[in-house]
Amino acid sequence: MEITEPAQTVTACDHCGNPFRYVKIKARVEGEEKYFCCEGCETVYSLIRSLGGDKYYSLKGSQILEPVSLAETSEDLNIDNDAVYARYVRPVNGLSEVFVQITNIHCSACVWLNEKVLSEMDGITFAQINFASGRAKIIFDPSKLKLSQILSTIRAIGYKPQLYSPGQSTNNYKKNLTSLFLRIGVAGFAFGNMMVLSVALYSGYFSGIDSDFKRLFHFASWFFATPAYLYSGYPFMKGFFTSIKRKTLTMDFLLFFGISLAYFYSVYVTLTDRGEVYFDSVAMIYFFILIGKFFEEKSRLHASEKLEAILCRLPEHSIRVVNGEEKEVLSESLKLGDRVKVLPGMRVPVDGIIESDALQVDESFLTGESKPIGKKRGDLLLAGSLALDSHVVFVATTDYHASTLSSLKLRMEEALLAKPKIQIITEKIASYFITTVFIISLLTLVGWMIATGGDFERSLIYTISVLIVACPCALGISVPTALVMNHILNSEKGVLLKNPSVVEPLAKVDHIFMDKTGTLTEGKFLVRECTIDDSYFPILYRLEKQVNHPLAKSIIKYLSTDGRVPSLSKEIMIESFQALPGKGITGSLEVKGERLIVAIGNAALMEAEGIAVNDSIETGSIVHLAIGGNHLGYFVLADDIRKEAVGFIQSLKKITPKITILSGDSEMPVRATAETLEINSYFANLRPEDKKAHINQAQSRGETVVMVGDGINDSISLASADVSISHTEAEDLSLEKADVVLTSGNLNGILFSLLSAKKTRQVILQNIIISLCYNSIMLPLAVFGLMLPVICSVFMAASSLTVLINSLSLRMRIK
Amino acid sequence: MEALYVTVPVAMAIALFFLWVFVKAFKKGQFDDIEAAKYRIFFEDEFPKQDTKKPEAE
Repeated sequence: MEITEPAQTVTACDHCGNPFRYVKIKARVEGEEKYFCCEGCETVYSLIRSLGGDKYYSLKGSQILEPVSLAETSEDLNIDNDAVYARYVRPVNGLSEVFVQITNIHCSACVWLNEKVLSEMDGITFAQINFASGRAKIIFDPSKLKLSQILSTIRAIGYKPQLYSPGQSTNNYKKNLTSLFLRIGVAGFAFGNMMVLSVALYSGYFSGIDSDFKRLFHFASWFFATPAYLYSGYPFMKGFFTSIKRKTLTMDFLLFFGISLAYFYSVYVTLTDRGEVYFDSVAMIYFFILIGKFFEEKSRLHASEKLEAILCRLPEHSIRVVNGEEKEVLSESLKLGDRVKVLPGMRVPVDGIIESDALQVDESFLTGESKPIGKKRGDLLLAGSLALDSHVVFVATTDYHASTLSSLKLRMEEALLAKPKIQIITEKIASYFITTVFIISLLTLVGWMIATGGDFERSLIYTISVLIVACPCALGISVPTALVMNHILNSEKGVLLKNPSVVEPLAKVDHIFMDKTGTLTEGKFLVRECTIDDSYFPILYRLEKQVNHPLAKSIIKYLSTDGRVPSLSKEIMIESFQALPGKGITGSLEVKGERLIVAIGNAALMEAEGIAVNDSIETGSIVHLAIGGNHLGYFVLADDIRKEAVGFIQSLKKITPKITILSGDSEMPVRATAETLEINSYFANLRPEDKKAHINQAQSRGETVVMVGDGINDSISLASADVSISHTEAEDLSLEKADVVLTSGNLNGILFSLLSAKKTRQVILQNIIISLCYNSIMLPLAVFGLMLPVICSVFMAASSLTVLINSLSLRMRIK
Repeated sequence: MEALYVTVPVAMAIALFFLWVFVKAFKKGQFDDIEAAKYRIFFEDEFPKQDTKKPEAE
């Protein structure tokens, strides 16, 4: 391998497709010259080629991948114990089956590569990855292979594996989803077949039909409607009875009541051979409503799976310290007040207060903050964070099941079950409506009994027709169909509306708050300026390589531009080395027999070392270098503004002029970002609580607030905003908190969701008005016995269809 | 038109048969991963492997 000056012809990495930034590594793979952006990509490329895998690149097409970083595998080594096997591995005819979630699969080529590599492994008999979920099902021979080997193999090709075992709620959602799918299938089957018969019946009504044929079609319709009524309608039947038990009028009550009326009246008509049937409405309405329910349930499953994948990362075993004696116990058995020890490289099982010395922890999957955080004695340690540089002893402040992470999960599950507000409003309208209808139908019965002098059968038929025309089926589908359509349109644009109720506040948004790092900017630090002489690069490289800090990583990346640096740095011996959290690194090195005291870090470190630095430049994070007490220069590292951000803010201003940046960063970079994006309002140096305060303040002015952000540092503010938006690049719990997730990672998705929400709200209101119009026109006709059955059935179908078509027209309305 | 007395029940029987096929396919897991099918057609090995490792069915 050698490093060359970038050739003009090749501009993108042959593996990942990213344009070259610093380095271009030239390598010979099977006699061909190829160029890569990093060592990781090169390794993976040769591995893929050795599998006979040109296929990977043809499947990948022009897709651009994340450049490979050869990840550390320390976490994998802790998993080969019985508790892990008991939880994740199931025996299948003498072999073992395990599910592995591979988090960064993005295309079919990824699936191909992982499946290929896994099935090539000795001991694996079956490996298949689900495209939708990115979850691999692996069957392996436990006598030949250990779990850790499987995981490290996946890691070696640049993917992030995670053992997965579905939890209680995920299983429930999944079961619901499969049964819903079958119910939709049955309803669609009934609906489709019945329409053929209905056309014959409708035209027969106008041009005349032999009564025997009519009876035949009625019976055939009955035959098809019954499975739809009983099987597809089962969830509504259940809802109907719970609603009676709780003495509340719900949408399920209304729907099932109306449909049952239509169904039983039609059965009566079929058997007595008078009038028209409404069997087709039964299947049609169930079909459309179930589709809406299906999508709702699907987004719940998605959220719940993501959450459980995170919970799966907690360690199975922990070390409990009792009277100075260490004992390995199951994490589940940890109780409040236990003293727990966590070794470096392991995750913290419960929340706790630190008793041992200071250490660095990685809370990235809780917070999305990639910088390690320094914690000292007395600080709170959150479950799920990773101990980085040293072991830690802490006193648990919660039981295992009550940690921040677990309780967050509970709150999430509650939120997932919440109903959209607008749905609650329609249900309220419907409940008033149905009470009125009941009273009117009673009056009709009594009125006709008096008017006809006690003709009970005639009065009953008129009463039933009142109930049928008043059936608020169209009202029932007016909200769900519009929401589903909006959901579909949004997901086509890479926006996942996790909570359908967000349409309401999204449509009324007044004030948008944005986080800076990772939201408006890329969240990746790059070296912008370097005043250090390149003869010191090997020393820098040697020391920075020792720490796991994003700034260090960016510097390493920058230093690797010169291919000689890594090899030169190998000649340098480290005598002592210390990482100072929040400051930098100090160390003493031996270079060619010479002993050097080196300090690399921020101004605070330089000050502590007694070195004067001129820190007037504040356009980013600065890393200074000093050797033997002499300041030798610095790096300036800064974060890039996202490409689409400028255009996005411009268009956003047309929707609402109130845009504010809330950032935890220092004043200078925030101002620079705000100026580039032409945002007048910004606040820097904010703690999470301050961000929340800003949002609450806006809310107290009566504004509807949208918060865009990521990480737990934003999660409090995300939770207090009316709508919270996050993106999937943040692989953490903020995703669970967010109402809207940008799966494409593109900010313009926010614009789309705002526009579509406005239109959807419009459509919902129109739908409600349309359906109420239909009902109120038909009602007086029915009350006075003027209603012709066929007109009634046409109107029933027409009202539902108008509402449906109106909802479908959303696609045309949103451009 | 008396043929309707035969064809309608026949149509109903055919419809039921396909409902049964749908349920059967569903239970077999054909709808578990509806994304996959359109990609997997490209996955077939062009060079069959030497060893006789056979993928095990569910």
